[in-house]
Amino acid sequence: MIELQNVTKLYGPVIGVNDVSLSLAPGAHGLLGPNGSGKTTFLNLIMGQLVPTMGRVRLFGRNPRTNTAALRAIGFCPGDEAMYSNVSGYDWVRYLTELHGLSVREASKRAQQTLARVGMTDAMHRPMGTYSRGMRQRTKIAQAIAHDPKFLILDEPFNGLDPIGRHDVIVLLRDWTRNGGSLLLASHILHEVEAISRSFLLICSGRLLASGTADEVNELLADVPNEITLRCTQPRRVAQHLLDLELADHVRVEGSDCLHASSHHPLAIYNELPRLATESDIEIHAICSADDSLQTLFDSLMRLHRGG
Amino acid sequence: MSEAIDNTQLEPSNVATNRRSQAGSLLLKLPQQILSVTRFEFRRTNTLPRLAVWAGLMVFPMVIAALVSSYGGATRPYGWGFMLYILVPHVTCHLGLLLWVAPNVNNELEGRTWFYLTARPGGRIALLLGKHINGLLWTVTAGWIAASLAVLVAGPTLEDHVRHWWALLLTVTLATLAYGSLFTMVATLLPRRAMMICVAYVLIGEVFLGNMPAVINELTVHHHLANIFADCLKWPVDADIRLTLDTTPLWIHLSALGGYTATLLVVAAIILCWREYITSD
Repeated sequence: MIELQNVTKLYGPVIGVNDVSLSLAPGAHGLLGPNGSGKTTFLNLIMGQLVPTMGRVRLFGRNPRTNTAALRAIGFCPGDEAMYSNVSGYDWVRYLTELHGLSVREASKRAQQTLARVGMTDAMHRPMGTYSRGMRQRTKIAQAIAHDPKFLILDEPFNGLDPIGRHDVIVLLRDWTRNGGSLLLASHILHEVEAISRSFLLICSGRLLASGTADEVNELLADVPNEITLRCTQPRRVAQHLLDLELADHVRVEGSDCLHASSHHPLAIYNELPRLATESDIEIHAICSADDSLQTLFDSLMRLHRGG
Repeated sequence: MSEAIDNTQLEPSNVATNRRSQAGSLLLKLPQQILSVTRFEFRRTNTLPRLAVWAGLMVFPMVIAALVSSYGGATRPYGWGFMLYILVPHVTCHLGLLLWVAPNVNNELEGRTWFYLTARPGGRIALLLGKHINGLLWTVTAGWIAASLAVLVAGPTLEDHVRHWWALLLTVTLATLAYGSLFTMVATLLPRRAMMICVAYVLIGEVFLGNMPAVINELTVHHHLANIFADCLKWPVDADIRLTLDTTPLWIHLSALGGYTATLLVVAAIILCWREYITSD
């Protein structure tokens, strides 16, 4: 569906995207990276808005810059919030739908249906200058899906949304993927992407750090120590035991009942703990491995990338 | 009816087969897209401040003509015609185009609405031509009405005012088309400084070079417009008037303006399609 081969984008001496190669199949994908990491440049290269300085971009097998017909299958929701302040949401969505080649009547119908789908029916005839940030975000999503695209590209779609708005958009995008639609969601907030997608592209400083499912990305972290937190009695004794068995690289005791261990062998620790608890009369109240969370994957990859 | 491409159409083996038909479909949809942009832009720019400026452009040649008429009209031969030619096809049209055409690309870039439009198939061309047509409509209507009002006011002291009137209508139309293409080309080439460059070009290129009695003035729009206007009014080539007239047939002047208009518009479209525009800082 999307293919990038050794794509580099330079803005003068500044690197926007640095030697990225990947192939995306249909499905839901999350593009994760901190602010300024090159996510928007990446999306604009896919959309044909930018031309790669080096390398090749293909969207449905075509160069999106020269074959704009492929854009008919794409719904694009840019990160910028700017809109025409004196135009109503309905007029704007209808107009942008007409530009996909739909008749005025069909575009009007689609605009109404889509604005209703994102919960904007009551406000759709008001000028967009009077909209809250959340309403603008929902109107932006409406213009992206009104022409019924196959593939949705969203740049920070949760910006400005309140918790209810976020939940609504998450439900909408989950429904979208459940009904066979594909999407690429760029965000710097991990749990938002995690809520929708299990396939990730991690990008930082224009470089693609890792891609794949959470499990595949985890495999890349074999050399990265995992962080385990234990809530137990006698944490110093547990720490000493783990160090004696060379199961932990570093340990840190916090208070009288908390131990943080950094280990390359988390499974061995999990196996050892029941025996230790039984033999040494230690009560273990909680074991928490942050490595189930995408946040840890991302933090670890960032450390690797930075040579940490 | 949805024109979304389904997945089977997008299989690599089918891409080559589909490419030609989709390119044709894109071309067929283009007039509708241009119409959509024109309609939307017309509604969007139809605001009270814009209407006030539009009315101002229509009225000021009439006010000047009324002032001159109240002092007995133009005293020099061809004075009325010369004055109306400068006031309407030049001043009115230039101001209108500066307002409605020159900022076309920059407005979308600065307003950060550019990506919404160009993420559509053929969106760049539709945006360019739709906004161009909208700008021409505002300007040409202001010019036509300004010409009609000015001729009406000058009527009692203006000989052959009907001929003056339609000569003005013709030159307003041609000036709007030719300068409109020029301003649109500048808007695509240097969007952030388009208005300033258009003003500089009009002053240096059209006013200074266009009135220079040398071959270089034949490269200006003003030279061809002046000759068409003079030809319509049957002014002699050696008339005592501050216009450099020649004996070139009318059709050559019309063809030159037509070629100028079309060429600049094509150049603008090529620039817009190939150039990367950055909206963010």
